[in-house]
Formats: sequence, structure tokens, C-alpha cells
Amino acid sequence: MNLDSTQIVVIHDGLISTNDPLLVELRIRFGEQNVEYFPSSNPGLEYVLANLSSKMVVLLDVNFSHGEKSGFQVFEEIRERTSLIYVIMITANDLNTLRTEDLITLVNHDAFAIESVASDYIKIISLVDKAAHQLEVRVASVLEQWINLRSPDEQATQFIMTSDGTKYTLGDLLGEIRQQSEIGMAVERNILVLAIDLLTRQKEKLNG
Amino acid sequence: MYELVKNCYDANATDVYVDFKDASLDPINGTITISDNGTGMSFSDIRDKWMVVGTNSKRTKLYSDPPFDRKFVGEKGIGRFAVDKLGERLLIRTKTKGERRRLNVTIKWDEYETKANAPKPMLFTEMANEFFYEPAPADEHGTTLVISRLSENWSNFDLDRLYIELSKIVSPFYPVDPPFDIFLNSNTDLEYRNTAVKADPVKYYSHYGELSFDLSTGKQQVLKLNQSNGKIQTDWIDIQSFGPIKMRVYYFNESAKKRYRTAYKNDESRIDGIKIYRDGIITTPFAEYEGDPNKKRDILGIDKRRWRGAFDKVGTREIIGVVDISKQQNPNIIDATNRQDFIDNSEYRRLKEFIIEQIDVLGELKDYERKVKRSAVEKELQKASDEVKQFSTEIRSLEKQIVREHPQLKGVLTPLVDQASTLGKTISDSISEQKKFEKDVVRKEKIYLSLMSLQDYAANISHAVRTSLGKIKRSAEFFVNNFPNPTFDDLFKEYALFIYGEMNVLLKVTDFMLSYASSELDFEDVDIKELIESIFLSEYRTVLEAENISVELEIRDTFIINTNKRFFHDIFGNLISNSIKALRNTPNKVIKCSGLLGSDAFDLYFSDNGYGITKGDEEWIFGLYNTRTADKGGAGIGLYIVEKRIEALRGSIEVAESEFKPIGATFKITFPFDRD
Repeated sequence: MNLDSTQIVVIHDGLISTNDPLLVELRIRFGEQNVEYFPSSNPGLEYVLANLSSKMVVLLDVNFSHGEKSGFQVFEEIRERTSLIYVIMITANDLNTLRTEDLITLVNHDAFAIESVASDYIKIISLVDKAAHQLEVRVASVLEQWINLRSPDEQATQFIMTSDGTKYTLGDLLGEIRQQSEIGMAVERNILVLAIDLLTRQKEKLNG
Repeated sequence: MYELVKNCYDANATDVYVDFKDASLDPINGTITISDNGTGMSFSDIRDKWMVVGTNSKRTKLYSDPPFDRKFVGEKGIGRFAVDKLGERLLIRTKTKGERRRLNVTIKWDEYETKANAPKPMLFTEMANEFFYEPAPADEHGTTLVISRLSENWSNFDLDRLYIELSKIVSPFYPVDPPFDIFLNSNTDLEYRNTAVKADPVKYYSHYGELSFDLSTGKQQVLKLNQSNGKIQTDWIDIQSFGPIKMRVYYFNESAKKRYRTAYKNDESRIDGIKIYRDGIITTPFAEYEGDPNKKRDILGIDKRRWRGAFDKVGTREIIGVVDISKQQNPNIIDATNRQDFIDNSEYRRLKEFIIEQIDVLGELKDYERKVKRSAVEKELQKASDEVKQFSTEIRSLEKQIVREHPQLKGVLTPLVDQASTLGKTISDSISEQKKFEKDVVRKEKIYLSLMSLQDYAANISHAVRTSLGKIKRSAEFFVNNFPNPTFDDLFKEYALFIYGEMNVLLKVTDFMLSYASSELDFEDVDIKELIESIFLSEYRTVLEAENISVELEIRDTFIINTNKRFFHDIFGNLISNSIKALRNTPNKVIKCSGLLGSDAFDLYFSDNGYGITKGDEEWIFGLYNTRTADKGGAGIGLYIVEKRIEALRGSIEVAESEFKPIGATFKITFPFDRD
């Protein structure tokens, strides 16, 4: 697994500044350069939105100081832009005191996990591992990385034309997959079927 | 004038004549003469005492010569000052008993001023004043001051005011023995022809109470309201720690005040609260003249307590009262040397309470009258409503009958019937309106104060504790997972220190919790101004002095709230400790605290001229553990506690524009009054 390229963004105001054991262990595991730490939510959100093309796992606090966006607001704003970033909520609140509507938002918009700040950090790190791994294997992630490696000309090339005559570039397809439209889901399924077909016929060697 | 007449008392005079000659029309040529039959002054008395401002002779001696033994009421060494204000020239004619000569000294301030402004200035004491002696009978004694070239003219109105003020020197009820009689004369105001100055009998009051004591039984009278008939009566209790006292108090209810205002042409300055007299003479804290009733000091704390329930409490502008004490019976009620109050001891505190208890009986009376009036109004309204209902029923049956017999009258009667039922509805509406209004009034009487809800509090504190515990736990977990890997030696040390520090923070947080848990138990009436002053000027004085921080307090208004003092100590203690950190590198360190009372809130501003708050941090700084001074020992707890304490009092705090800008920081704290 290529964990080095996954960005871990920690947006939390309840950590020991810069040297919290959680940050130290994340840096050891994912590389110093891949762990970004923001003690307040607004700059953290800005960073995430400015780096949407990276594979990213966000560890997000729920409560921030007055005048800052809450963790739920940050989560929603990320989700308005992408569903490809995994978000793990870490809170000092008693989970029983979270509002039902916030929990519904988390589930419906695919929050990866919610964990207590008082849990062992090892548990939090294993959640990050899991999220990073899933990022690697998501079709959209693989496709997105593939697209990012192509030249602008190749990116503009139309790859698929449907029976009604609509044409799609790779970028268009990525958009459809992200939005989970009919064509997006069909393409996603077909890519996986094709990959298995290739694997079983041993026509291609898989990397890694 | 007031001061000069008090000086006559101190000089053992029994008579004082105050005479105004042409002082109303032609002050330059007019004179004021004050003459008494007191002990008189020798040449050295004038030179060394009278002429010297602030002489200590009255400090070291508290009482005048025997056999009078009068407690001094005049301010020390004020005589020369007082005369200087009245006119430019003074002739002193004075003689002590047994002397064969009368001393005359002339002082010309106008000339002195010319000389003082000359290239080679002279001090007042160096001035050679003219003096001479003249023969006089040996048994004559006393002093006469003739003031001329008057600074102001004295209108009839001024004389009236002087009369009222002079009449306050002697108790209206318990005459001085030996006597002290003042006479006022004017050649331009016919009202004053050697008129004896005596307090006018109090008129137009609505209620009156008089208290005495009985030494043989050791009992003291107190006021009591008879709840069944609304009459003020008396009861007996044991003589209190401050000793037996006599008291008379006149209360003016609303209608009495109206009558009073009409009679005295809206001059309400005569209704001026309670004054304390000792052996028939006004005590020094009450002896300072202040014409503006708004500036009068509230020595007994009668008005301060009214913020809490302005509707039920009686204030100084509704009562005239006299409390008579004596040297012999009340030895522990002692005038403070600054003349502003009495020495704060348990006896004086009890005396203040006692006086307020008596006034509160009048408050009960006020409440009683209001209720009686209210139920009378209600009854009237109810009666009217019933009558209108009856009227509309009757008219309706009449209508049927009449219309049957005289159909042409239908057009006249129907609108009448409609009007009657509309009227009935209007009256019942106004009854419910009136009830609603009463309810509003009751609500507005309270200053809003309560604790934040327990759920909010529990959520708040558990979040803080979990955050803290999370940090400690992760640090410990790091040891469990990595110790003794030498790569992490620096981190091990860092975490060990961190755990130690964080535990201290947790202890503070739990202390905060505990104080909160017990805080409901000790709510008490607190005078905000006094409290803030005591925090700055007593508790933190040495700390602030050690840091070379000067304090500017401008608490213009005050009010009493029922609160937990601890909350305020936490608020100011933390703000002050933050300021000390922020001022560390400021050369002229200042902390300023000002407070003012608005119509719906009490605003406090707390400022320092330290390094200020970074832009963008204005809200962040109130968060738990949020600190920019971790290197100076800041744990990020202080402002969190400040904010929570203020929120618990239903107030708010925010960072305002610095009073010391471009440097410094200002916090604005607002305590709103009940608006619910």
C-alpha cells in the first residue's frame, strides 16, 4: 500500500500544540510531510478545499472556539465539494449529547468514523490506516490519480459515447462517479468487472 | 457661612447673630457680620490657628473647652478659606473673657492678591495685617467677623437656603444644652429680622413614626406596620449594641409629596433623608453642605439598596428623619477623621442596619398602600363591569318590549344596546390589561440574575475535563507504547512535564466546578462598586504595587445585586492576572476599570495598556486552553472562567476597542437587567 502519498489533515483544538502524541505517531506512520495540523477550523477548512486533488484523510474536532466554524459545518462544506475525502470526527463531547440531525448528516454524507478524544490514539491511528487504505482502492480515487497523471490533451479526449450520443472525457466520468449518477455507477461497475476480467485472464500484471 | 456658624458652636457660643447689610443689591458696599458670644481669640490664636489653613488644633482636641465639652463640628482650619470666599475684606473683632482689650484685625485679600502676583511675591503669612486694640469690659467675650467687598450678592432666595441649612445644625427635636441659638437678620429681606433660626415644623407628611427607649427596662422602640389597618406603630426590643437612640421619621407618600411640592414650589431639597445628631448637634458626616440633592452622599446606604426593588423600597427623597444619639449613650458611634462617615465598627454597622430596618417598615407601608389602592381600583372596575352587564341585559329586554309597542323606536334603541355591550367588553378588556400591566411591573422590579442551566454547565465542564484527560491519556499512552526507546527521550521529558502541568490545570478546573457546586449556597447582597473597589484597593493592592501597576477606578454608579461574591473575585482576579502578564514589558503600567449604569444594563470596562490582543483572537481567547502566553505560564483557563462566570450571571464579555490604543486591551462586561 502506498501510504506515503496520503495526506493526513488534523483539525483539532484539543491537542497538545504541535507535539501531541497523536501527531507524533501519525508523522511516524505517514511521513512528516504528509501530516498537517490546524488548531482552528477555518484555516483547516481552507487548506482542505485548496488541496482537493490530494488523497486526504481529515481528523476533525467537533467543538471550536467562538467565531470559528464547528466541526459539523466544516464537514458539510467539505462534502459540498467532494465525497472523496475521508473525514473522521474526534470529539471530547459525550456522544450521547450530539444532536440527532448532526449524526444524520454524518451518516448520510459518509463520515468515515466518529471517535472520542479520550480513546487510545492507537485506535484513532488504526481508523486513519483503514481510511487511507480505502482511499487507495476506491475507483474514483484510482481514476482521479490516473487523470492527474495524463497530459491536458489526453484529459480532453473523449473516451465513452453512450447509446444516446452523449460523449464523456475521463474528467466527465470522474464527475459522474462522484455524483453517483446512473452512468457514473455503470462506469464504476464496468471498470471493476474489467479489472477482475484482466486479472483472471492474467493479461496485465498488477503493480504493488 | 455654614462653616463659619459651625465654628461659633465649636467656640462654645450660645448665640450667633448673622447679619446681612445691603448684601442683595450692592455686594461691593454690603457687609455680612457674624458675631458670637464664644470664647474669643487671642492674637496668637488668630496668627497661629485661625489664619493657618488646616491647623491641627481641632485634630488633637475633639471637644471644646469645659464646661461645654462640645464635640467639634467645624472642619479644621476652614475659617480663613470660608471668609475668603465670601468677600475680599475682613475685620475680626475678638475678645476672650478677662482680657481688658478687644483685638481688631483687618485683612485685605484683594491687596494680598496684588502683592502675591508682584515680581517679588509674598506669602500670605508674611503679610503685615493691620491690627489694634481697644478697651472693653472684662467679662465680654466672643468674636465678630465683618466681611465686606462681598464676592456675590445674597438674594432672598439665597437667604432662604441659608436659613434651611443653618436650621439643620441643631436637632429640631432635642435641643442643645447649653443652647446654641442662631439669629438671622437682613436689612433688605423683611422676613429676617433677628429671626431665630429653627427647623420649620415638618408639614404635609403622610405618616410619622417616633422611637424612644427605656433605660430602666433596657428596651428600645422599633417601628412596626399594623398589617390590618396600615398604621405605623411601635414595638419594644432590647437596646441594641450601638446603644439607645431616639428617632423621628416623617414619610411622604405620593399624594403627600404632591402636596409638598405645591406648597414649597417644587423645592424638594427639604425632603432629604435621615440625619444623625449627637447631643442635639449635627454629626460631621451630615454636616457638609451640598446644595444639589443628586450629589448628596448616601451615608447610611439608604438609596443604594433601592436598585433591587425600586417599587417597594423607600428612599431618602421620601423621608425626613432625625436620629438622636449622645456621647454618653452611644460612645462607639465615632465620627471618622475624614468627616465623610463614621468609623466602621460593628456598632455603627448595626446602627445603619437598624435605621434601614425602620425605613423598610415604611417600605412595607408603601407596599400595603399600593395593594389597597390596587384592590380598590380592581373592585371599582369589577363593579363597573357588573353594572354595565346588568345594564345591557335590562336594556335588551326593554328593547324587545318597547319595540313591540313602539316599532318606530327600534332605530334609536338598537345602537344603544350595541354600545352597552361594547362598553362591557371594553371594561373587561381593561381589567385584564391592568392585571397584565401589574405583572409586568412586578417582573421589572427584579434585576435579572440566575445561573446558567445545569445541563449547559455539565456539558461545558465535561467537555473541558475530557479534553484535558484526553491529552494526559495520550501522553501516558505514548510512554506505554514507546518507552524506553531513546529516539523519543526529548518527547518523554516533554510529556512528563506536560502531564504534570495538565494535572494542575485539571485541579483548577475541578476547583472551578466545586465553587460552582457550592456557589448557590452563599448568595448575598453585594454593592458592586464597593466590591470592585475592595478587590482592586485591598486584595490586589500589594500585588499591583509590587508590579508597579497604577490603578484607575471610575465606578460612577453602583447598585446592589444579590450574587455570589466569589464570581466577581474570579472575574477580576483572572482579568488582573492576565493584565499583569500583558504589562510585563510596558513602562508606565496602568489598569483601568470603569463602570456605569444604563437604563437596562450595568457596563464595566476593564483595560490595561499592555501588549494587547492579536487581531483575530478576540473570540478565540475565551476558549478553554486557548492561550498565547503559554511561555509565561498561561494555561488558557483564566478568560474561560471569566466568560463562564459572567455567563452564569447572565452577562456577557467581549473585547472592545482598547482605551489605550494603539496599545492595550479593553474588555467590556455587560450585566443586563431583567427584561423577561
